[in-house]
Amino acid sequence: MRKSLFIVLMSVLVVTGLFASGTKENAVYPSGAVELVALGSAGGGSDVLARNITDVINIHNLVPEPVNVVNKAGGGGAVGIAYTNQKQDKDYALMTINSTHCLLIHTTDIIPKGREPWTPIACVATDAQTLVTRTESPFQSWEDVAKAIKENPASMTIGCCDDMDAMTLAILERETGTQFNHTAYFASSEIFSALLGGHIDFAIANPSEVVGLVEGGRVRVLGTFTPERLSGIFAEVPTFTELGYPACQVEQLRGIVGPEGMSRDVQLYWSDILEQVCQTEEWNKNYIDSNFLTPTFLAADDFAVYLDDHEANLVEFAKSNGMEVF
Amino acid sequence: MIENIQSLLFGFQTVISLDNMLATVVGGVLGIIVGAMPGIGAAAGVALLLPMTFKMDPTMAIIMLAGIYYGDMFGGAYSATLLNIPGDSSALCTALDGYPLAMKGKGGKALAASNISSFIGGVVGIIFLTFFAPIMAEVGLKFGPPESAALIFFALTSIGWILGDNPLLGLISAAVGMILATIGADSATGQIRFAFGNYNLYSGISFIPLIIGMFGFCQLVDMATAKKENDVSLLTKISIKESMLTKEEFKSIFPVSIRSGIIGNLVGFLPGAGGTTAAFISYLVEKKIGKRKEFLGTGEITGIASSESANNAAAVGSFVPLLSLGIPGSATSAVLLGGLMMWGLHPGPLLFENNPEFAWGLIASMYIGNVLCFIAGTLMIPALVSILKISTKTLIPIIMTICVIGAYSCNNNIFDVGVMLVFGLISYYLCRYGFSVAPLLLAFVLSPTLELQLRLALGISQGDATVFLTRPISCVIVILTIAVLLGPVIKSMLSKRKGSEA
Repeated sequence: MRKSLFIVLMSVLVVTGLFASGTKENAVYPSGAVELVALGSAGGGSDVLARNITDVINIHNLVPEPVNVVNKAGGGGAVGIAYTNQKQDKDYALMTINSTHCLLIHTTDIIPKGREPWTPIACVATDAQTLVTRTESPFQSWEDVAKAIKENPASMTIGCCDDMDAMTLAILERETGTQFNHTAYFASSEIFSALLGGHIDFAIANPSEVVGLVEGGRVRVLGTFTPERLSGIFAEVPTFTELGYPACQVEQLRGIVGPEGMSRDVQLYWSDILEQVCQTEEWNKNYIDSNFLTPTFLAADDFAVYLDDHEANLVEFAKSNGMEVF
Repeated sequence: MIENIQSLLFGFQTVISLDNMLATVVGGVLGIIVGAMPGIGAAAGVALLLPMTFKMDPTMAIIMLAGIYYGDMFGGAYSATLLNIPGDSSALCTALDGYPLAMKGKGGKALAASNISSFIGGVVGIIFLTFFAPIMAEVGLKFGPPESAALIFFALTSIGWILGDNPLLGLISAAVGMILATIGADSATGQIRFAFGNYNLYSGISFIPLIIGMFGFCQLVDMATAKKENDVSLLTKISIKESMLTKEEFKSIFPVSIRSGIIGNLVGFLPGAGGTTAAFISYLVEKKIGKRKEFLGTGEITGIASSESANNAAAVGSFVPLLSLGIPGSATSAVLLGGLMMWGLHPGPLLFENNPEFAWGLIASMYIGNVLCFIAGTLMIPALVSILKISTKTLIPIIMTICVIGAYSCNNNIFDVGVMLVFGLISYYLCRYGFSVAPLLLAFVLSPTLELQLRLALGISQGDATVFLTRPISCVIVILTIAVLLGPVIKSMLSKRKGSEA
């Protein structure tokens, strides 16, 4: 029995040892493969962003060494942020971030308080938010909704699934003086089943999530939370600014950062590479246009300023909604 | 009907090309391998291979990935039967009957039964998908949170019959499972529960490391501490011939497979349910109305048939909302949705119209793929069964390696290896003191979905609990649940009364 238990322990050690890795000496940057950590599983928004970046880099040979996408899902991004920051060599890891991660780092203690778990590199795009209802619903426009809610407050149910959706909804309610009955879903796909099935009345959604349903005539977009109208199939949809609520705007960022402690040269190197990526035709066609995003490039320092501002807004919103933030 | 057959033939035209046939074979065989490996479930398997398909033609890519999905359902049964480690959560019930059969020296028959029923379940699912996909998708939409919550609650009643010899210990075990499931971000508000500041627990304990630990690693400690070698004399002469089912055996599993296939498919296309729930529900049905219901759980091929047929049918069923509405019906089809967008398709109600070669090519490929998986699976049986002949000394390090890699590969997180080891030891001691771990796992799988759907239902009804009774579908399910729960009590009361009258 001892012998067999020994075998068990040995195999644990051997197999675990396989995962250990070393660091590399470098003269010219980059002198080895770089990991691009997507803070979500394959097929999700973060993954799509990461894959598009590496695609463009490969097509145009922008980086001499391979850039590999690694998926680290879990904890709403916390697992991936921690993973990237635990890397020995801070110059060989990048990660994708979006707005929810800016709030996440203030609601959880992934790293010590008062420090940012990343080095800003670049903002590569921003995503819009829209208010949608199903085609059979009696509401043809926002005016119909507002009127119905005024007559009967909180009678209408709306679905949202992450902090950004919740924030969009809070801004909508504050600016328009309306009140909805909120239900929080786990995944946006479940929101759409519930919306089409008539179990909820409205949903907050990104354009790329609803484009198929809009084309198929199952969903109607009532308004977009953008400064200007979206293009394509959404061109007919008014913005909330046009509807008389100019403060009703929400922007979701899509950016790339390095771990805390990345060197200044490397930060600027990647900021420059991403600027080149964002100027390519492939990027604009395969990523920006097909996901209905707004092309927004901000280089390292501008992005740092933007991030601070964005975080402050999110934290303020979270505080005013009774969330525990620091 | 005629239109659907025409479209299907058109689909076959698309599939019968060298590229697409190759994609079907590669997908199916990879799926069987991925399924047989504990740790990489269907969702993870598809996610792993998804990036490789981004450069492919969408039709070819979806054919291959779908092959991985249903191949996985075939393969999941193999490790469940041979090693008592379900390759995927949907094969949990298969292990309950498969492993005892393997221990009796009937591993080959168990595998043959699981292949045949997987095939039948798959075909039932595809036929439904071919002819009724759009109608089914609309029906599925009627299933809101109250209905889903009621359905999961119904599936949870199946805990009653796997409590083991001591019902009290079984209930404790189920309660522990529910408590473990509450760890991590609360699905409704995002509030973190019981994580004790450990970010690895923010999204909860992953099911795959837990199941590998509780079944696989526990099994291993058991083997390592057992005094004598396992009796291999029973297993020396297993060939394809010996693994064939007799006519009687086939007759016993055929109706079960058809019934479970229909149930599995119906559960699979509903939002919020999946292969695991489908397998549990049809196993429950088999336990209630099956011909040999009292032997279920001790090594019955009908038990394997009910679980395997259902999870295959459910895998196909989850394509219904994906293809007809662009809304994924399971974790795996959610990954596929990401793929569809990467390939430049906008999945939605117009997919059948705008991309017929894609949608119908996929459906046609499933017919071919299921036949291929069945043949490949059957040919593998002798090789697979020979695993049982490997001596314990050699087998232990191999299974250990599989357990560690399986746990790690689930999220690429070393923390999960720790989870696997810790729960393996916990499970070993639970078993030694007479607790059964099946209720724990069942409660762990189903209670997060129950909680989420329950809270959504109450959110929609603004806190009114009668919502479960005022809506017709959920009311029927609630009544059914009560009937299943009280059935035995009433039966015994009636028989007592009869006895006292006589």
